[in-house]
Amino acid sequence: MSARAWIGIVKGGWRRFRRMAELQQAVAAHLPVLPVAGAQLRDASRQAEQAIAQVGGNFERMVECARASVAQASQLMGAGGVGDGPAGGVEAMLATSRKTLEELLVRIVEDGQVCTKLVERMDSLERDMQKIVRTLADVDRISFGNTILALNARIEAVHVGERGQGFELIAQELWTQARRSEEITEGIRGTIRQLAGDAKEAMAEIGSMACADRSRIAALQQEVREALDRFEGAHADMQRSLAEAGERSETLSGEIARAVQTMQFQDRVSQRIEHIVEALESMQAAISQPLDRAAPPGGAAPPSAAASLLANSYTMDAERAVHAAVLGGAPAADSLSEVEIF
Amino acid sequence: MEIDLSQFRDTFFQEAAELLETMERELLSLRAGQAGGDTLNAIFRCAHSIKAGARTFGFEAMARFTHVLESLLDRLRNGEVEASAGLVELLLRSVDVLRALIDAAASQSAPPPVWEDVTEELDRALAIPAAPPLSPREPAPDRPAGTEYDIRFEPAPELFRLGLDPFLVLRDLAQLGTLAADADCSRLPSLETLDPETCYLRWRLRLKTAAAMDQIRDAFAFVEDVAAISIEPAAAAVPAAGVAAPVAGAPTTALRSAARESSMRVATGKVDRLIDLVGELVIAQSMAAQIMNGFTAERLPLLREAMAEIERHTRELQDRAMRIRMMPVSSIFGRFQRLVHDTAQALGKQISLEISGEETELDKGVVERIADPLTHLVRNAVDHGIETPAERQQAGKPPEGRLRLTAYHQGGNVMIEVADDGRGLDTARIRAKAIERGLTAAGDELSEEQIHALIFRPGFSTADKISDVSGRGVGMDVVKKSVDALGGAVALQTAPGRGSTVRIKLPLTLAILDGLLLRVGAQTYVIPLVSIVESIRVRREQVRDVAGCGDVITVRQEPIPLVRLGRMFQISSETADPAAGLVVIVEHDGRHWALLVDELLGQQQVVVKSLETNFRKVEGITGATILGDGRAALILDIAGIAAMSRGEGLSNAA
Amino acid sequence: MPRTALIVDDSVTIRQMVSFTLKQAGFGVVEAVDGQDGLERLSAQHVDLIVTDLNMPRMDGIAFIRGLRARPASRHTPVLMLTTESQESKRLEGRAAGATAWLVKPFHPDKLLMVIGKVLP
Repeated sequence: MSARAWIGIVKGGWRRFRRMAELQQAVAAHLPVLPVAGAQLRDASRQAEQAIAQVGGNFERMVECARASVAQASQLMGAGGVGDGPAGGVEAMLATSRKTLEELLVRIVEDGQVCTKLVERMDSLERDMQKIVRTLADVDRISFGNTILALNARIEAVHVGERGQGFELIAQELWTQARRSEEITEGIRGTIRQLAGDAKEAMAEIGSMACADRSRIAALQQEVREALDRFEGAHADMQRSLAEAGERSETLSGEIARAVQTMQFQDRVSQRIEHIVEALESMQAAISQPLDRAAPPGGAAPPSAAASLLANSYTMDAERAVHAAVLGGAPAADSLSEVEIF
Repeated sequence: MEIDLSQFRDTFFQEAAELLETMERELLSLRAGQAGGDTLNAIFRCAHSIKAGARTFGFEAMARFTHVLESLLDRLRNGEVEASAGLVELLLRSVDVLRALIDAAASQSAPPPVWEDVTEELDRALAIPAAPPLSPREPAPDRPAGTEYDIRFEPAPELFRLGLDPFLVLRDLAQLGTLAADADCSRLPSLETLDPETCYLRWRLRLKTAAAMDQIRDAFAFVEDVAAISIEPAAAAVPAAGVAAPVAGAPTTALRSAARESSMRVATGKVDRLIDLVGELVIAQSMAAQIMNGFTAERLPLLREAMAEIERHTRELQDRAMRIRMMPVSSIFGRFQRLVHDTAQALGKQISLEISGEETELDKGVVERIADPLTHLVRNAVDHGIETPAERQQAGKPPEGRLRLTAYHQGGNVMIEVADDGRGLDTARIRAKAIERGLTAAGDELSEEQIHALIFRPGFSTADKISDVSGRGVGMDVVKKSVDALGGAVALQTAPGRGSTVRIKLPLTLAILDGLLLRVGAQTYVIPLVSIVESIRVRREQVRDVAGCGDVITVRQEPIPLVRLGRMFQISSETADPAAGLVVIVEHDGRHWALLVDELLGQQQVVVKSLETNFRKVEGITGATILGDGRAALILDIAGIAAMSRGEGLSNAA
Repeated sequence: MPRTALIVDDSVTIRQMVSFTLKQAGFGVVEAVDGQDGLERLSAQHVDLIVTDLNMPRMDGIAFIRGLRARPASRHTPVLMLTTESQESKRLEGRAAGATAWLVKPFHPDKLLMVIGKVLP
């Protein structure tokens, strides 16, 4: 082989070598970016996780507050649970008031009826007494008749003379009886008068005590019915509010369930980022190995232009902190003016 | 308005109970071939009413059941279906089921599962092809649509080690419809070789459900890969093996919860009259009050009249109030028809039950407490009293035995008799048995009545072999105790080979007693008239001192032990000498006692107040009462006094 | 009696969400960050239910399940695996290790409760 060919080969080799070195240098310049990129990704993922975790931490509390306020509204308005037993709340009060009113209504009606009955009783008593008076009139007639008989008997006796002694006795007897029966009937009449008078007084007393005027009863009934109607209306309003509260409660539950599902996506994000970081790391390992072997001994790594370029793009303290932790060097000076709230 | 609904609910339960009684009665008369023209209609109407109520109050099972029942009854009354014996039996069972459903609804518990079986039977009865209807009929009752699936579920043995539980799968399946599960335990080894962590069981299931196949598969969600599962639509339904077992013959009494009978129905007429009387009483009282204002001697007759008026009204009020609590005995007699028929049938006997006097009225409390003893007596009569048709024919009697239940008023009491024309009891054997049991000594002279009364003693009834006494069985002492507790008396009359009659005497009311007032020392006592035989002045010659037994009085040749009430209750009595005082002869258990008292104060109706609830139980005293002057008088318990005097060795029997 | 559940997952959020859902359903909750931590918790107390992730540092879900099934106290406790959709093979592995049931992340809380309803009486 000619010398020229040999020189050509060697020059070619040298050129390739130079190219390799250039390549190595270029790659080496960018290599430091890889770990930084990885670290930034991890840090970002961590921050995101923290932020979501904070929300998650407050989650339970938020839900409790929301639920409690809805429950409180229901409690205030409602009658509590199903079944009997007082459970506070406006609805329960409504129910009690309504019940009281209804009982009052029933009582009023009953009172009216009792009074009516009493009045009827009184009337029938008076009728009975009238009957007795009429009977007495009959008794009177009979006794008057007896008196006449007695008189006649006397007259006969006188006509008949001494043999009329018997007649005399009978006449005497009849006369006495007639007199007695007059006394009795007079006595009974007196009693009846008394009774009638007493009954009337009793009636007046009862009337003034217990029985209200009939028209007042009707008015009372009307008032109570109107009050009940008003309650009905108020109750219907309450029911509507309760129903609305119930609906809001339902909606809330649905929103909460959806939030629970959505929040879990953070985990997937973490995992995906982790996968990428791992890829970066293995890439870094794969590239740096041969570079290390080929690097001239004693040469410190030149400051990487690529890394500096990256550093200049930073806008946050956290970014600079991560950069410094991986590559060394002080963070930039802008940090004081930025306030970051997580 | 929750409150109002519940009031109506109670009313519905009561009405339903009455309607069911009517249904049962009519069905029984139908069975006996005594159906009237309106019987079928009446039965239908009852079921119809109950259905309406069940729907109103949302009692699902009850509404569905009565709906099917009503449909069947409708066809029955239209003559489209014949009232065969089997059908009537089915309808009677339906009445029992309905009772159970009502009880379940009243106690808010789950309806007994048997109702579905009976519903199926009713459905089948309805499916009997009818004569072509003249007009469109109600469509067959709707049933939940569903397909039946045969499912096989064979979990792998390691099922438990995956934390899985086959029971949860079955539970999920059961929620989809009706599930019948049959466990195949053939792989279960013996206890020693059994590994508790291995699943040995397999299941064959039949599921009737309207759910889609997806939902059924879903129940097997996490066991699919560790079990062999097959789900197939079922083969044509196999006819149910035989007729569903008859609804257990639960005694009708057991199906009636005691709690519901604490309210009662009262005829409105009675209540009206009561209200009227109260009104009149108010008036009479106010009139009296008026008279008292400015009272003068002349007005005395007026006052007397007014007071008499008040007294009349009060008495009538009391009477009416008592009557309100009265209910006719038919309410308990009614259930006996069924009981007698069913028991007789079960024992292979033929017995006809005659009831008379069922309209006789008794205080509600008494009726409730006499029901059980009466049931007991009726059962006894059927069990032991009346012989089998063969035995009867041998004895020259008609093969059908007769059991008679009678009730009537007598004096101030109600008499109830349970009479049968069966075996009767042999007095000599009773006596022998009593001697054997130590209830009486061999040398004792006892009247036939007294011998019969021995049957009611505790100790007698624990006969080891019922056949020994060939007649009434166990429990007579319990009957007597119940009747005594009501202030009544029970007696037995019997003739061997001819039959027995048990006669129960009951007071008209528990709360009011006719009594004789008497005085011992400074204390006033009351003896229930029902226990008194007579009161006499005793002559010296009649009194004897029997060594070791105390004083004995001879009345008409009968020696009667003397009881000094003063000594018994430890009060100083004025009279120590019987000849100087008065003696009241009382009777208990067929025996007599003579009570020595200082003075008789007269007869009176008294209101009984319980001593037990206000103080404690006192021996010899059943209660107390407040007299007109405000004093309290104790009411003597003759049974207790008899026991106390026996204990003191004053009686002349062992 | 209130029941207890053990939640094993290295993700804070997942633990929070499962814990929240279970607490609303009346469970008491114990948390662990990976398989090792989970086994330690199980030594300390009894639980009625275990919910575990599969990918965890130190000791992953499969190993954790194997470990807990080897202990008498948790031999038959229902174990619910949380998986991502791409892990079909993991499901079979989990089953072989002794898992009772599985649920895909992210899950709707109602679905979680339904699955639990199937494995717990």
